[in-house]
Amino acid sequence: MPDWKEVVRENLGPAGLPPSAEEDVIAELATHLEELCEHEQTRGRSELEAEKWVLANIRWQKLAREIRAAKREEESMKNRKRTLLLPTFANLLLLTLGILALGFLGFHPEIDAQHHVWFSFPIPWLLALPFVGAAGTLLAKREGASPAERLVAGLAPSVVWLAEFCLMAVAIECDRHDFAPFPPQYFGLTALWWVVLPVLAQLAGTLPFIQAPEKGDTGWRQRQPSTR
Amino acid sequence: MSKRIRSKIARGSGELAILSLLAEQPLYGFEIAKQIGERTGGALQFTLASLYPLLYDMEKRGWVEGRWQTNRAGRDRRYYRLTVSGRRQLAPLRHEWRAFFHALDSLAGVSHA
Repeated sequence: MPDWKEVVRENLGPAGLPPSAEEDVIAELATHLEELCEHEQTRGRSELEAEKWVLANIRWQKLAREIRAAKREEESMKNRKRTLLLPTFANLLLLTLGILALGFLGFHPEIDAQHHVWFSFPIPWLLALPFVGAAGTLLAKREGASPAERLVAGLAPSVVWLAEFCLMAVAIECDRHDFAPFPPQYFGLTALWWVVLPVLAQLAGTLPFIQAPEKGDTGWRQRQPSTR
Repeated sequence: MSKRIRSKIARGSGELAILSLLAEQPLYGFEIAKQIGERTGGALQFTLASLYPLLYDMEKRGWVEGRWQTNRAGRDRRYYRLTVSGRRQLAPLRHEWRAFFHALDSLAGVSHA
């Protein structure tokens, strides 16, 4: 009796699925072939005849093509959820909890148009950002994320700040009466402290963990050399 | 009949056959193919290349759910069971196929062929 898993692996070739999903498919098809072979033997074929009959009736190329089509979209959605969405939300959650904790400790960021706005910025929060960025990136890396996904997971809060800052700029532009005393130079300094520096701080925590995926981590499985 | 239409009919009938079987009990791939072959007197036959892509596609759409189970002999098999969404698909699919055969019958008298 051949090793049906090896037979399937050799003939199916790389399916372009994550290793665990690919192993599941191989195991399931191998079990099917093994049972089909046994079934044919109960109908009077010898073991060798049954093996030959089973193998002769499989269109491997069609099978591989259709399994790829059926599986890949599903797997890519599952993967995206695991490698990108969950680490991103974990990062945002961690940061929100950090802001709440700093609030309890008495660090309240304030926008002060009359004075130097950066003096009221919570420095401990800025110092914590590299660690938050690193946590998001490491979580994504552990799930086998690509370097781009790791970068997005690590810098996710920056996107939120940038969006908030843009909204603030639009609000100021739309309501000049209320924001008239807000000098343009403070607006630039606010951008520096609320967007540029936090992004750089998160990037500092993220960059060390953005490297090529480890071999066999997420890449396509290489076709095994034939042993028969 | 074009190959594309034939393929769509085969796919649709395959979905109905699998959903109908799984509505009775959870089954694994080989057993699904075997029961469909036996219960249709060999008229419907699933090959490896027609069964598993269809099962994976139905799983992707949330109609069936596959889970590994080990039997008493220690063999691992992936059992498929119908989900609530799959069960909801069954009645409309049956209705569509009944209407299809009725229409074909009025046109070509296939039920008396």
